Amino acid sequence: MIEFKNVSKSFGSTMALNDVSLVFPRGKIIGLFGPNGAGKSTSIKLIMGLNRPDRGEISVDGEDPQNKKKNLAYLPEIDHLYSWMNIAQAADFTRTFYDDWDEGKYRDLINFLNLQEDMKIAKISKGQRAKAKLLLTVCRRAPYLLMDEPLSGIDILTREEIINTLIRDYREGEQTIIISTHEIAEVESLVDEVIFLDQGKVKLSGNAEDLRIERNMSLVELMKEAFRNAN
Amino acid sequence: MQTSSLKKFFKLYSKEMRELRPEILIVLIATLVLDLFFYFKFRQYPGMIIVPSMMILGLVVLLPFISSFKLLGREWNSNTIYLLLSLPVKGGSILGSKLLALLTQYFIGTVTVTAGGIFLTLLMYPEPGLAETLRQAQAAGIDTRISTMLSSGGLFYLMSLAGMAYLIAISFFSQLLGKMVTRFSGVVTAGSFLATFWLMGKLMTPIWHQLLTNFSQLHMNQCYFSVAAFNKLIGINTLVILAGTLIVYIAAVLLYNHKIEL
Repeated sequence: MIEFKNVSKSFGSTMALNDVSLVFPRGKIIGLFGPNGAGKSTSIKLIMGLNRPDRGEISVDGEDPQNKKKNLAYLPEIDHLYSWMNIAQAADFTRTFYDDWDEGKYRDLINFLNLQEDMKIAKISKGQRAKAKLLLTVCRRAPYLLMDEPLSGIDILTREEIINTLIRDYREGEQTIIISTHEIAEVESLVDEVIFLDQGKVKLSGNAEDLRIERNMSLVELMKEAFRNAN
Repeated sequence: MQTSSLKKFFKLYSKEMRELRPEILIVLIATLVLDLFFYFKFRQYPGMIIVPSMMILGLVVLLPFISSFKLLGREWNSNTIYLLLSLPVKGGSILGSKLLALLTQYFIGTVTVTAGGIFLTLLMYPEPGLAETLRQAQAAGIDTRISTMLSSGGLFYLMSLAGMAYLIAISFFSQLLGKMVTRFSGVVTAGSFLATFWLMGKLMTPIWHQLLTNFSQLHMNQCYFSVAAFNKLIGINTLVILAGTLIVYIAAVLLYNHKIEL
């Protein structure tokens, strides 16, 4: 379980998260939704230990995120792989650091995603880079998978492949997936729990199905309503 | 099966060596080209033997220092810092692998230049020949035994290696300080480099001064050059530089582990 206790984080005069308390339950797919600048990426980076809270506390299974990095698989929005590497070299680099690397899954997924090991990161398209990043992240049997805007700037066919990969390899009850995105419609069918963030605060959170039934709305409509009321 | 820390460190080190490959190749090619050029163009002027080696030596000393800024700074410029910071390794391994790769670059460069220099010397050494010159120096009371030259040369080389590590550690420390601010990162890096260099100099100068005083009292009354005393001085100097390197390196690792954010 990942827990935020009264977490605040600011960058200069911009308050990214403002006294946020949250629980990300284990074994679920959790959607972290909100418009640009809502604090989604900051939340993911705080869990990953790439940022530190100004106030409050974050714990991953009761421990400081800095000590749990081996249990966290992270897919950032930006291209973070070494551009001189090819996919095989990037996989070799990654597998050295993680004992949960699943070689069978890697071999299987590289075909499923239509990638080749000798593809050089610098020379492949944006969609292929997104798939390569996804490949290296989901090939690990990490208890927590953190995805920051995995569909951003990706064409519709690649989006479908990414979502299918997630559905295909998700281990329900064992693995926790946190997907931060403002493109809710694409992942609506995936998520079990939702957290709507706006201007560093939680606007709405709960079980996705319960919210849909209770309000008789899709998650996209729910978000629109939540933010319309907020403004 | 759990991957050992050593294997992780070696993987990081291999990555850094791959990043330094172009600079290493530049030194190798420049040495070869310059040595050949001097051999074929200035064969009749044996006094020029030293020139290509000295020219490349400048490059060899300068390149690891410049590369230290490239190796760390590029992680931010190419966003690969996201990958590095998410790895389950601490700053000691990240910065240690970069430091070791830069020292390897320095080692390869100096060995190449030395080998080129020795080769040119053997080919171009003027009359009466190298062996005869060594015999004459021995007759004049200079210790020209191979073991002596190797021990003094080796110690001197170790001191230069420690000096390079010292400069790289200050470079890492100042770059990390620069990365902690969102604006004027380059100015902060340059300012903190100079400030750290000055501060460490202030810290180390009294120690050097004390050592030199002791050394003078012990050896200046002797009318001949003592190799053992020279070696001792170099050895102590190396230790002082290494201590300075360790202080700055630990400060850089602590910054990386506790203050660096994205």
